[in-house]
Amino acid sequence: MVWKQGGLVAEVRSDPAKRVALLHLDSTQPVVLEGTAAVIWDLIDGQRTEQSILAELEAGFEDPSGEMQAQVESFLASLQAQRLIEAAHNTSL
Amino acid sequence: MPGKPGHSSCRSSRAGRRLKTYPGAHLSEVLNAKLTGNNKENGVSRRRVVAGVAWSLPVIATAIAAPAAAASGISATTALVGQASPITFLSSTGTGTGTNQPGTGPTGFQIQNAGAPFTGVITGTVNIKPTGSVTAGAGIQSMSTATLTPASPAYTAAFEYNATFVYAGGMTSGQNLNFPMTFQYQRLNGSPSKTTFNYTLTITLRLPDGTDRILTGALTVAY
Repeated sequence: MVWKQGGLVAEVRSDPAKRVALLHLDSTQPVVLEGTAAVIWDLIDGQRTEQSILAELEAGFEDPSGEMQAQVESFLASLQAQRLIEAAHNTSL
Repeated sequence: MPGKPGHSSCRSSRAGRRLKTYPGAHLSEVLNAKLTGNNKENGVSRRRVVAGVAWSLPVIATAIAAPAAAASGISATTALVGQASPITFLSSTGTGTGTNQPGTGPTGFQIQNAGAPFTGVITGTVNIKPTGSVTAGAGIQSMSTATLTPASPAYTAAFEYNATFVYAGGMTSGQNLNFPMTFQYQRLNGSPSKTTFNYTLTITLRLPDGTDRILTGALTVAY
């Protein structure tokens, strides 16, 4: 699965991207991503597959609990539920 | 000034006018922006430094209400309370039967009315969906303040939990209404052992003005 950031999502970020505030334009409540959540958001570019995002995270973080994959999948599902991300048309990448 | 270090930048995805982004950036570049010091001067490779970053649960935090909320008629913000808190999952077979299991998740959710008082019914749905492979579901044992249906959780063959709830008390101006929750795990023959199951929790609230608030979080049950 390839994800891209939602087309109706407005974004405000600090520089460097320690905090990212997002608002779906049909919603009334913005959300804030920090830490690993902000890192994952930056990796959602419409090109990386879910597997490649996970691979980059696994290479970059220490995860002794081994729960990273499930947590990333859950997080992506949450972003999709809030329509902050959507499936990219080109899933062959 | 957008794009200048120390300042914020913004974009609209629809318009494609992104003033400051990291398209195609490698994780190491993203992470490196969070690190201090000069890696080369310290004689430490970027990968070694990056690999030292401890993983933490990614969460979606609820921010303050957008101005549009005021125009919707009800200016209320919602949030999960105590995300990733240590919680206890009761056995689905009832108190006293089966062993409780530890885990993490929110302890409830809340609605804060920042606007005028309102009456009418607040309804909602709850979905708890497994993330990855599981052999048991997780559901809500109790929800204070609201009436939960079904009162006794039921699970699909895919270990998914769904419920609805109703609250008809209205809200006063400035009121912070809490909905504490407790959770349960689906007790089945052949209980899992030495594993952790993960779930996505999605709560959708519909306020009396017809607007929705969506809350998402994570649950883990450690067997």
